[in-house]
Amino acid sequence: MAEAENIIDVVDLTVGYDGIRLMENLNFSVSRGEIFGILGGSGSGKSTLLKHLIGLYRPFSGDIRIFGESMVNAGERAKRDLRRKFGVSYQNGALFGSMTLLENVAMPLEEHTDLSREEIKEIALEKLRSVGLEKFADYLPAEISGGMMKRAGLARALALNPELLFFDEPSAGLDPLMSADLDRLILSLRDSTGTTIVLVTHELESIFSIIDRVIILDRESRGIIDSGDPRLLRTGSEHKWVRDFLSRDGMTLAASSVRR
Amino acid sequence: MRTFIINVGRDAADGFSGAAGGVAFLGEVCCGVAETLRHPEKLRWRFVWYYLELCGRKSVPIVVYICFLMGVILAFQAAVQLRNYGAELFVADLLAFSVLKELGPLMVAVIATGRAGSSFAAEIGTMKVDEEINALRTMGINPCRFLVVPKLLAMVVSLPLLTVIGDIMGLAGGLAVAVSYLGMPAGVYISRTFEVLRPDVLYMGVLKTVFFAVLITLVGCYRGFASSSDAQGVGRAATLAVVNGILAVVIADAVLTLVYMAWGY
Amino acid sequence: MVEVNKFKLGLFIIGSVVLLVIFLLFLGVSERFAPKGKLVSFFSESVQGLDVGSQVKYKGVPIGRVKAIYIDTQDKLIRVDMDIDFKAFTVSGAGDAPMSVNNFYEFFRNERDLGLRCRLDYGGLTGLKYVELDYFAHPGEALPEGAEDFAGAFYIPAAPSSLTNIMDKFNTSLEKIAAVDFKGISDKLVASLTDISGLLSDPQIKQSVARLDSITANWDKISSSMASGITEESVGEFIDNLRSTLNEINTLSKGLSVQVEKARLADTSQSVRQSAVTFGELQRELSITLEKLNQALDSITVLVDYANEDPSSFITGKNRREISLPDSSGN
Repeated sequence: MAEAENIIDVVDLTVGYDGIRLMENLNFSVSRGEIFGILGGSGSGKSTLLKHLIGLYRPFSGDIRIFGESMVNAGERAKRDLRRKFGVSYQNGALFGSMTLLENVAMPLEEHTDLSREEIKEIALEKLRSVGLEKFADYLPAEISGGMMKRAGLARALALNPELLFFDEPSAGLDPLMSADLDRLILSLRDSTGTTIVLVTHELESIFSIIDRVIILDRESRGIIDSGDPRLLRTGSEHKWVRDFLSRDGMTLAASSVRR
Repeated sequence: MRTFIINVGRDAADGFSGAAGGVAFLGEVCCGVAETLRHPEKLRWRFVWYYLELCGRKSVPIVVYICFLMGVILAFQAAVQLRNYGAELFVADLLAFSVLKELGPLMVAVIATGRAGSSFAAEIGTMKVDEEINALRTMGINPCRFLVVPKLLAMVVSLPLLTVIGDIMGLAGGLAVAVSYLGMPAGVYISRTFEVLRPDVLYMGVLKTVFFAVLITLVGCYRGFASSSDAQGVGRAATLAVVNGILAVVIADAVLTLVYMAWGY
Repeated sequence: MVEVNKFKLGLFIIGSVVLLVIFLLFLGVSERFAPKGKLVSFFSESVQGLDVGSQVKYKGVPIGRVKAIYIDTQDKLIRVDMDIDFKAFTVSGAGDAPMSVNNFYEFFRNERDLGLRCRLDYGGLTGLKYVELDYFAHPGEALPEGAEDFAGAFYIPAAPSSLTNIMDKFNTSLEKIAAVDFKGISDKLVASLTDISGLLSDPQIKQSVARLDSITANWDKISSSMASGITEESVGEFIDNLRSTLNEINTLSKGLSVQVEKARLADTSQSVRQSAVTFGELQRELSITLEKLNQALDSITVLVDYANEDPSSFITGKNRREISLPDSSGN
């Protein structure tokens, strides 16, 4: 029964790009309703792993099953159907610069549903309202701030009411207040709709406030060095680097970035 | 020697993977076109209008200048030579055929490569940097359908139209030289031009530009998709789009000339 | 996205489409769909320089274009189909209405009876030809055998081009010249003269005979080296000249033979004396005739040289002499 509850199953996955293997033999799973964090130092391959999970890259070996279906072996059409069931919120929003926020959010609806123009507009406005941007519906991405772009990107990822959401560095480059806002938004999303959320991040604030479970990637050992509840790992991890990483303050963060 | 062989091998491998990438891109574009044909309502006409404006309407002034001046230069050179034989009237023949068959389509294609090809590559390259292409893919949208098809459509419409304008301006350039330098009555030159020209000449020239439009768009977009995800990469992609685009157009022109010859034109 | 200026965009599209249509109209797309009169002709000569799309003119007025050129394998003639534009004709008196199909065939039937023929002509220095319709035949001249209309196309017989005409005339003339038995005349003369040379060893006669001999020997060389393409008049004039000269030679030669016979038969001092007198006259006349023949051969040599140097002069009508004699103008 617990197996059935897994939204994502990663089996013996080896990832990388341009012939370079970054991670070998990864095994983990994400269960329904969980907020799951992928952590690691810079260059450890977090973003690369995420791109594999959402099917942008093809792994060297192993399998990724999302909702029980293989992402790796799926054909183009099956992949597209699978992608409709999850949303991705990119680091900078990845909004289409030539379209207004409303049009950006409406796009997945226009592409994948048979709803009328008015219905689509209504849903898109509703999604923008849920991220607090309904006043900016007719703005172009270039006319709003970075934080707003991220939120608009989230609104677009939510457009099709996905059961699974991926976030790539949601709070990177945001001021602490904005970042806390976004965290609250993510948490309320999980609590209200039961959406499973996978986050790639290195913001301590987010890690401790919202994430239920993490895996920590390490570049040298090309794999997961630890996993579990971040609050427990902070003191209980057997790896010094993990304890340092999770307990650093502003100073050690900078030092860590330089070291890595 | 060893390094030389290794380099040759690497270049060949790069070439093959480049070619494979190009073929894959072509396949994706074909899928995009097929999807658009199946679901025409999903075509974003606003983009088509935008690119029609960018590649078509806004190119009119430069096409007018360049083609007119090209006509003037060509007519002047021809006039200087043909005058020696008292055959000034044949300037009209020379201009009519060379402009309509070759130079008009080619000049317009080169201008379009510089304007549209580079902007396509830069646009798509920037979108790639901003992860917009990835966003499209994860939204289950074929980026080619979304990004390439409107450009393709706009180019296939605007390039032939620009060519008509370019052809007329080239002939007008010839007329200007004939009247001012050779002192030929305008009516004589014009009637000679229309006497020697057949509609086929115009059709075939304009038809060429449809091929050119497809090539310029595909090369520009491919360069954009293949650009590396940094600002310099986008710059290189724009340059490559122009260089490869012009090369593709010239090669296609040579091939089309042979095909037309085989057809008897 | 930068907002599209719909008005300017529309202007661009509509404007260029309108330009395209106007351009095509000027290029004669409308003519393509207009009804056409069809003419057909057969040429036995080379149509080098004539192409599909070449013009068809009636007395210099462009009235249509060549539509197709085939080779008729049966009689190896070259068939040329022409499309004639009705708009080039007006029926005067009927409010300048354009010609109808019936008018068209009626007009051409009448004109064909009046001698209307097709001829290939040069359009300029490019070597391109056009089909000229003009009255090259005499009114009522019979049409070639089997001349009928072909699948709705009206048949107009072909007249040989001016160049072909010249060539034909020249060839016939050469054949006629060749038919004259120069060798015979010469041999006979030489034989007769040699026979009586012991009797009449006049150095002038000897000289004349020798000259005649060399002229005869040269004749073959000259006639074979004649290039093609010589103006009609000059050739005609020369042929007439030559013919009369040859006739004179013939007469002379006959007279000579008779006299020689006489001299042989009547072997008396008196008849010899008489013969000598007669022969003196004959000799003078012979000398004059040979002089004429020589002149004729000189002029043919000049003509042939000229033709060899500048064959196109017969087509372009330019006179080389005007160019090659600069001091004649007095400079």
